[in-house]
Amino acid sequence: MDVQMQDAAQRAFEIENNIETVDAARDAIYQFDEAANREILKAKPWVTDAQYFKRVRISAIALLKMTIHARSGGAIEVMGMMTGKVVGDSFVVMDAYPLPVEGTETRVNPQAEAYEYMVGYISTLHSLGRKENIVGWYHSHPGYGCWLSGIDVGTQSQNQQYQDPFLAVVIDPNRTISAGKVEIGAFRTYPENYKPPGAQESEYQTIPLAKMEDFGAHASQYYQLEISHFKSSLDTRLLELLWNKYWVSTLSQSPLLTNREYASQQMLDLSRKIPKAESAIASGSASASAGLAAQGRAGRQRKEGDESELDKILRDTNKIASEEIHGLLSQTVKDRIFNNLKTVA
Amino acid sequence: MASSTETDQTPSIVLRNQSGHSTDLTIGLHPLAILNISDYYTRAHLSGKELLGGLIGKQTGRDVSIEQSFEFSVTDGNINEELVVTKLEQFKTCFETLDFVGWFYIPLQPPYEPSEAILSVHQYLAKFHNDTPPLLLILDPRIDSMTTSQKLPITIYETLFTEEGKPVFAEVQHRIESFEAEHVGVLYVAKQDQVVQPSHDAIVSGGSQLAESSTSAQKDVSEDLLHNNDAEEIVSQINSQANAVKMLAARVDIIRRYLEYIMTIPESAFTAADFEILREINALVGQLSTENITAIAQGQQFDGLLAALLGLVTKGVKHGVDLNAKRNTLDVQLRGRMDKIPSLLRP
Ligand SMILES: [Zn+2]
Repeated sequence: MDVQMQDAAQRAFEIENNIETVDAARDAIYQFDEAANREILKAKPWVTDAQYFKRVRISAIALLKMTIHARSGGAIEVMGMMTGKVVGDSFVVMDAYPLPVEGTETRVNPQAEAYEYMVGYISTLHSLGRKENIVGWYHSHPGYGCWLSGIDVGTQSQNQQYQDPFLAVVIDPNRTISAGKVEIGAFRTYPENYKPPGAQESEYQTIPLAKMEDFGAHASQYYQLEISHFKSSLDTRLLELLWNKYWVSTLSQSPLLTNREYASQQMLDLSRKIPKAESAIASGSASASAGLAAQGRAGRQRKEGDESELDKILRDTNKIASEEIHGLLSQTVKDRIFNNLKTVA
Repeated sequence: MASSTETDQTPSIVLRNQSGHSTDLTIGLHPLAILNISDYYTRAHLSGKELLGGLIGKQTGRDVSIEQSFEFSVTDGNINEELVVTKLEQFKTCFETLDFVGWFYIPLQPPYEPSEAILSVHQYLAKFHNDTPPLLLILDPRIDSMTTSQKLPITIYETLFTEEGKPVFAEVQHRIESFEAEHVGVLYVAKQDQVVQPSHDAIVSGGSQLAESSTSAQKDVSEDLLHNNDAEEIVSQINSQANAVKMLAARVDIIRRYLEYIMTIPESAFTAADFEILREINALVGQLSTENITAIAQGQQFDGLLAALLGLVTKGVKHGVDLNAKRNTLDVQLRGRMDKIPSLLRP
C-alpha cells in the first residue's frame, strides 16, 4: 500500500493563510485545548457543587447523529455515547456515536459487548487524532417525552460516581417527528440524599398516564440542563444552501395534517387525566369542611398536589391549543398566498 | 475524448461536456454526510493534514445513497489501512445495511476537482469496494464561491475508462435525500444559534423559575425581545415561513421575467416557441389549483379554534377552583376565629 499524496500536505500549509473559509472566533469551540481540559478535570468543581453544570452545547453533527439514531430504533429504545469536553459550567458535546445495543427501559445499561465496542471506538478516535473524551450517554424514549426514569436515574448516578463529568441526554424521536422539532433533554442526577435548594421542580412536560408514576417518583432526583447547539461557519453556509432544497416542504406541508395523530394522542391523554384532577378537586373541597387540623394539611397538600394537577391539565391544554394555533397561522399564510388569486390587469 | 475540449494545458482527468447523462447512476446524498465532512474540515483544516475520508451508504443496483462519513488517518501520504478496516467494522456493527461506497476529498488549494495527484488514492480504495472504483466526492470549502454560485459546493464523480483504459472522472448528478428525523434535525440546527430551554409554558407559569433559568441564556441570544420559549417558537416559525415565501417569490419572479422577455420579442423574430418550458410552466400553474384546500382548511380551523376554546374553558375552571379554595379557607378561618387557636390560622 503506497499512497502518494505528493507534496500536497506541505502546500496545504501554505494555502491556509489565504483560504478564508472559517470564522476563527466562531470555530474556536472545535479546537481541543488539552491543557485547559486537564486543568478542569483536576479541579473537579462539580464534586462540591451538585448543580455545577448548567448548560450543554451540542454540535450540529452530534445532534443530527443522535436524532437519526433515535429514530432508527422505531419503538425500541436505542442508546449511544457522546464525546466532547467540559468548558466552565458547560458540557460541550462534539460528536456522538451509537452503541450496538437495544435497550429497553429495563436494561439501558450497556452490556459487555457494548462496552468492548465503546472502548474500541474511543481508541480508534484517538488514533484519528481526536482527543475528546466520553462526556455522557444518550438514549431514546420513543413517544413518552424527555425525562429520566427510575432506571435511568440509577444508571446516571452510577456514571456520575465513577466517570464524572458525565451527562445524560434523552431524545424522543416520535415527538420529534410529530412536533417538527427535536425533542431533547439533558440531565444530571443529584447525589444521594441531596436536597436541591428552593425545591425547584423539574421542567413540566406532557407525560403519558402510563409513565406518570415512574416520572413522578424520580423527578426530584435530577435536574435539567439548558441545551443550545452550535455549528461551524462552514456548516452554516452549507445549511443555508441545503435550505434551498428544503423550503418547498415548509410551504407545502401542513403541520396540522402531519401532526394530526400526535395531536389526537395528546388530546386523548388529556381526557384521561381530567377525571383524576376532578376527583382531586372533589376530595380537596371535601377535606376543607373536615375541621381545622385536616384543613391545614389539605391546604399544604393542595399546594403541591391537586392544585398542580389542574395546573398541569391547564398547561397541557394550552400546549395543544398553541400548537394548533401555530398550525393555523401557517395555514392562513398559505391561504393568503395561494387562494383567491387575483389577476393583475 | 471529450476531455480534449479542456482549454488549459494540463491534461485533465475530468470528463467534461458529456452529452446528457452518460450514466444511469442515481445518488442520494444525505445532509448528515455533508455536515460530517464539514465538521471534519472545521476541526482539521488547520492541522495541515490531507483532508480525506470514507463515505458510508447503501448501494442497490445503480442506486447509491451516501449517508455517513468518517475520516482517514494519513501519515506521510499513507492511509492507515488498519484504521479504515476497524472503522468499517464499527459501522457494520451498528448499521448492518451500510457499506463503503466511496471517499471524499477536501482540496485546500486548486484544483477543486479530481487531479492526477489523487488518482493513486482512488485506485487504492477500490479494495474496499469490491475492487471497483468507488465514488469520489469533492467538497470545495471556499465560502466565496458558495456565495456566488448559491449551490452546494459538492461534486460527486464516478470513474469511467477511456478507450486506452485510462481512468477519468465523470460528474454524477445527485439529489439531497433525508430521513424524516434527519429532515427535522437539519431544519432544527439550521436555525440561527437558537437556545433550547426547558420548555416552560409561558402562558401559565410566569413564575420566578422561568425568569431565573432564562435570563442567563438570553444573554447569549442577542435578541432580548424574546423572553419566552413560546414567542421564540412563533418567531422562528414565522421566519422560516417568510423565507420560504421569499424563495417562492424569487422563483416566480424568474418565470415572470422569462415571460415578460418573451412578450418583448416581436412575433416575427420567433423562430420557435419553447413549448417545453411553456408546458412546464402551465403544469406548475395547474398544480396550484386550490379547490379542495378550502374545505380541509375550514375543518382544521374549527379544530384549532376548538382547542383554543378548550384552553380558555380549562382556565376558567381553574380560576373557579382557586376561588372556591380561597372561599373555603376563609370560611374555615372565620369559623376558627370564633372558636380558638388563632396562631394556627396564619397562612
Ligand atoms: Zn430512559
